[in-house]
Amino acid sequence: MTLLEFRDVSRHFPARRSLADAVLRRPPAVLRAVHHVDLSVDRGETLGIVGESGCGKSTLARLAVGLQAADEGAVLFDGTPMQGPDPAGRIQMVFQDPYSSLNPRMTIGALLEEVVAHYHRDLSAAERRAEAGEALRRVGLPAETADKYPHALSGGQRQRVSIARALCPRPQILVADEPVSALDASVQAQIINLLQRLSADTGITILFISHDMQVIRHLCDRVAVMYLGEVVELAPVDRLFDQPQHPYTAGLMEAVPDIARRRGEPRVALGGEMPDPYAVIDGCRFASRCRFAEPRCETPQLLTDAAGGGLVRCWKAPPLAAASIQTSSRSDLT
Amino acid sequence: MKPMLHRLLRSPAGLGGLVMLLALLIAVVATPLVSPYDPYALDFGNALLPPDATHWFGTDNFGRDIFTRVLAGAAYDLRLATTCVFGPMLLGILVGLCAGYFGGWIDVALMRLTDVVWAFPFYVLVLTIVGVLGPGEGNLYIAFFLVNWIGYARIVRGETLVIARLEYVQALSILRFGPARTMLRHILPNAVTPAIVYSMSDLVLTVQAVAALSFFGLGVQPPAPEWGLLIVESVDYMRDAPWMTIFPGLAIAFVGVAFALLGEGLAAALQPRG
Ligand SMILES: Nc1ncnc2c1ncn2[C@@H]1O[C@H](COP(=O)(O)OP(=O)(O)OP(=O)(O)O)[C@@H](O)[C@H]1O
Ligand code: SF4
Ligand SMILES: [Mg+2]
Repeated sequence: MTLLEFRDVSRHFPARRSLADAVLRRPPAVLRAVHHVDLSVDRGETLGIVGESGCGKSTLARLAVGLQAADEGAVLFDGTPMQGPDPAGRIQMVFQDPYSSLNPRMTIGALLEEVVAHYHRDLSAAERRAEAGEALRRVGLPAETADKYPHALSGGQRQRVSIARALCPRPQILVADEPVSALDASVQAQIINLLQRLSADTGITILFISHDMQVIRHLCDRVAVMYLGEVVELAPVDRLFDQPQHPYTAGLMEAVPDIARRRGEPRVALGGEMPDPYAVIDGCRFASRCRFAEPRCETPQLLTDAAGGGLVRCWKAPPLAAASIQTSSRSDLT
Repeated sequence: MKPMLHRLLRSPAGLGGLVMLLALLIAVVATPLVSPYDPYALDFGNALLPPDATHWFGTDNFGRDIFTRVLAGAAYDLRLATTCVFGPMLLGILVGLCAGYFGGWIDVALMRLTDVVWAFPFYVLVLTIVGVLGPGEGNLYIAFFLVNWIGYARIVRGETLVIARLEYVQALSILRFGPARTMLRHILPNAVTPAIVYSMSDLVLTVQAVAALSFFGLGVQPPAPEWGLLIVESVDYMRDAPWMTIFPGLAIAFVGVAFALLGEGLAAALQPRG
């Protein structure tokens, strides 16, 4: 069932050392962009990754496709550890910025045909053209698009081309790193629908990264919530949105008016700033912003089974999910 | 390719520069066929004649037709300048691409090399080379090839650093396109525009440098009608026959303006949109 597995994966970025550090032989500060992440993506599912800016979503995506190597742990495809991008092209990626994700000097047809030729060297020119046309059709673009340059296309059309390019090697997993964040709302919906249809029609597995809870809710089967490089909650989408159990997840939901209203609970929007990512503590990383923090939170928190399904990284979570909300509403009154 | 040429021809500067260069090239090719004068043959009876209908630019102290000599000199100056610009340009582009794309120690090593070469003033370097190897056209090439690639390497490295981070290049690494294809087919066309534009001003400077080096006896040797040499030979006659100095000087200026205009036109024409 598991198609892609992050097994205890970490990716750390050392800060540039100052002269004083070098003289005093202090080790450089380290940013733990992705820290001991264990995550399995099942074949055919759409797994969402959500979290605020800087929590390590893109780093996780780059680790998945092999653009970056893990410092610790391994990324396994079908049980086999990956080293760099997959030679067979089984994992492909769609990027956020539609304006820099296509070579401005190549026609859409030329760039798709080049990818086709790279993976199917025995095809004739006509067959390559047909295959590129087929890729355009799959993403809902007219065949004439092949003759156009990227600058003649809208952001949404470019994102479709990016998806078409990613589909050319016939991948089993599509990693989409905020593929709609740069688009207008109406165009966003079209691209989301396209991904949904691809998933339904071809059974392709999608790792979908976003900071938009609404989009995640609409598209994903399961959701991993990340905070400062760690997965703090992992759950089927309905459970996550109906009963968020990590205080951070609850805070993310409160930030979305629609979801908050639907849940009919007092608003406890996320307060505070994200702490300095270079100076994170061993205990719960969310403690500096958590309204329920107490001394025990300073001990390392483990991902444990959550009530109602999934995993959560907060010792208070399962029994306190309901209680905490009561406390909060009471404290709001006083 | 086609739309670029279109845009170049539509920009007044580009069109102007192109027309000037074409006119010069046609004149260079046509003159030996139609001119009754030989750029080298001496004719003391007709020495130091001012410009008139038979000798458009006048004659020099040996009675040679200056118009014919200036156009014959164009072949020297243009050949030297284009070789000394486009040869090192290819080298510099390759160096810049590799430094920017591979990064790490390759980048550090290549950029240190450019710093070292850059640290030598150009004319000191030329004097050293000529001092060791003796003056002559061949040693001019060596001097320019040693120095002229630096600018291109730096420009293209900077562009490559930016482009290599763009998402379309990351997509290529995920697709496992090799470095040669990624660099030459996908990065180079987007990184090379400023280098091409720079090469036009480099041509202007190089024409002047070639003339200057010949003027000082370090480059092309007499009796070649190279423009710098024409000016050297004119120095003693400047008062009585100023046309001997003026016309080669104007030729240098003409080529300089033509390349500058062409550079301006290319800058606009090579943008991917518009
Ligand atoms: N190459 C790098 N060198 C140093 N730090 C990095 C590097 N890449 C990422 N980081 C840092 O790692 C952290 C996580 O970055 P990442 O891009 O994965 O976040 P993100 O969740 O995708 O954020 P966003 O929503 O803004 O895209 C950030 O603090 C970022 O500054
Ligand atoms: S462990 Fe403590 S600080 Fe962390 S989220 Fe849970 S209650 Fe808040
Ligand atoms: Mg990101």
